[in-house]
Amino acid sequence: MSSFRYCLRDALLSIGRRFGLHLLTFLTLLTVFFLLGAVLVLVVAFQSLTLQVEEGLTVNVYLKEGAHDLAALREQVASVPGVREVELVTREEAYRELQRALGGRRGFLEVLGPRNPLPDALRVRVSSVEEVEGVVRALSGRPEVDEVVHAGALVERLARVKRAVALGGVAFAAVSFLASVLLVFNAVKVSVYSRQEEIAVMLLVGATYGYIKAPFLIEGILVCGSSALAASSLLWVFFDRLFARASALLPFVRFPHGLELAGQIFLVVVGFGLLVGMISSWAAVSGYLSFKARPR
Amino acid sequence: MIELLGVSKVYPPDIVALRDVTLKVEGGEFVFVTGPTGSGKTTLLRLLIGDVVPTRGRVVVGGVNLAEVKRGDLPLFRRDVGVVFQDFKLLPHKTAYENVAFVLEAFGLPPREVRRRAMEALEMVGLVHRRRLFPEQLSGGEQQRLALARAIVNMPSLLLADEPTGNLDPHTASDVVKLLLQINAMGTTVVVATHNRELVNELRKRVISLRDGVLVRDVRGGTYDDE
Repeated sequence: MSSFRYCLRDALLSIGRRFGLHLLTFLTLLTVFFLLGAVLVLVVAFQSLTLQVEEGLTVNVYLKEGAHDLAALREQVASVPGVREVELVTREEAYRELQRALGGRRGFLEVLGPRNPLPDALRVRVSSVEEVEGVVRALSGRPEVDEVVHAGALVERLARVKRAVALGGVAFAAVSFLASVLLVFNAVKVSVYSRQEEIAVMLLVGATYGYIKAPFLIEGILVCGSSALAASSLLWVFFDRLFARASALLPFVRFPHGLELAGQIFLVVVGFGLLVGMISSWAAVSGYLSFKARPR
Repeated sequence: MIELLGVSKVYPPDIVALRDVTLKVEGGEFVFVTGPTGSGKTTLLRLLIGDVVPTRGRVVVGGVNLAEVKRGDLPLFRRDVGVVFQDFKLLPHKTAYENVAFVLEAFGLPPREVRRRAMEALEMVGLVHRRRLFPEQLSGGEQQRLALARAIVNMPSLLLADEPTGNLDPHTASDVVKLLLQINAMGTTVVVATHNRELVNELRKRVISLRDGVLVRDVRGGTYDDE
């Protein structure tokens, strides 16, 4: 514990001595983390939106007239891969639903006459948009099925966009990760080089590699962590307001807000920042030490 | 304490620093290593602390064959060896006290123990009253005494000093020598690489002379020049 205190003090002194460099690194990282966080929040919001669409996504399977063992058919359809839930809607239930939907416009039903023209149907909910195509294909081939109706092209487009957005988010995160690692790596490397004489003395007096590395690790983590924290705060303020406005405009879509949004942003961005700080400063000081500490 | 067996050291591409050196130093001895610049004195000390590895031969310090010490274990080995440099190698951003204390901090000792031992070492070299000053605020002699305090703060069984009086006036050099003798009297083996003829002649300790990397003389109670 005492060693940690010494290392923390050394790290703070080092940051103070190269304050200009660390401030520049902090501001650059703040920008990178803000952009990364913004992209991730938008990706997550879009994924959440598609999830809501998916939850309401229904494939209507209309059955042929005749005697079917509807309960058994329902079980068989439920076992098709990608099917989340199957609801049996008999022609009588469908007729009642239609009556309820039409409300006061009963004249339309009178045109149809006394006979119920609606078929028995299965309302199938799939687990994700990507599964729709497979489920439709599996059900269309069944002899009991007359017609399968679903959102078709819209669903496929949604699936494609969802994949593209997820891929874009991952690509942006990867680029941001690389950029921020290089930034911190360089800042810590400068610190390491400016203290190379000190490191040489430490090596000669028997300081462990862990003791020598620790202040640089703390330095990298402090710079990264503080910029990630600042970026998270800005992101939270920005998106909390943005989503509040969006919710007012699109009341049927559920946007994250308040502490839920803060939790997501802080967890991801600060976690990302700490990871970047650890990896980059570890790489910067370990590379140097493994070269310098090796007896020649 | 120290055993070198047929040790040679060649730096790339083909600079021979030591050539087939064999010697033995017992625990508690005080040894001068003399020779002109480039004769291999510093390389010899660097071999003893595992800072360089021999091209040929075997180096054993305190019963430890340095060829068998893993890189990760070198710090542990070095804790038992104090080193004093001609240019002091003090840390400019640390106070005199911190320069001594950080060695103990690096070993993970508790703060109270760090303070006790650091103050003892500073007291031994007469720098307690200067402990809050930074190295640049100290005189050359005080800096060298501070370097000595840092080297002995962990009570090592071997102390290596590379030209410890090289940058000092005769009076200050004498103070440093007295400290080296005092440390030796406490049982620490002391190896001093030096050009200081007066120092060697005055103390009449064991003298090992190197020339072009070859051990040319090993005399007990010797002087700087005797053959």
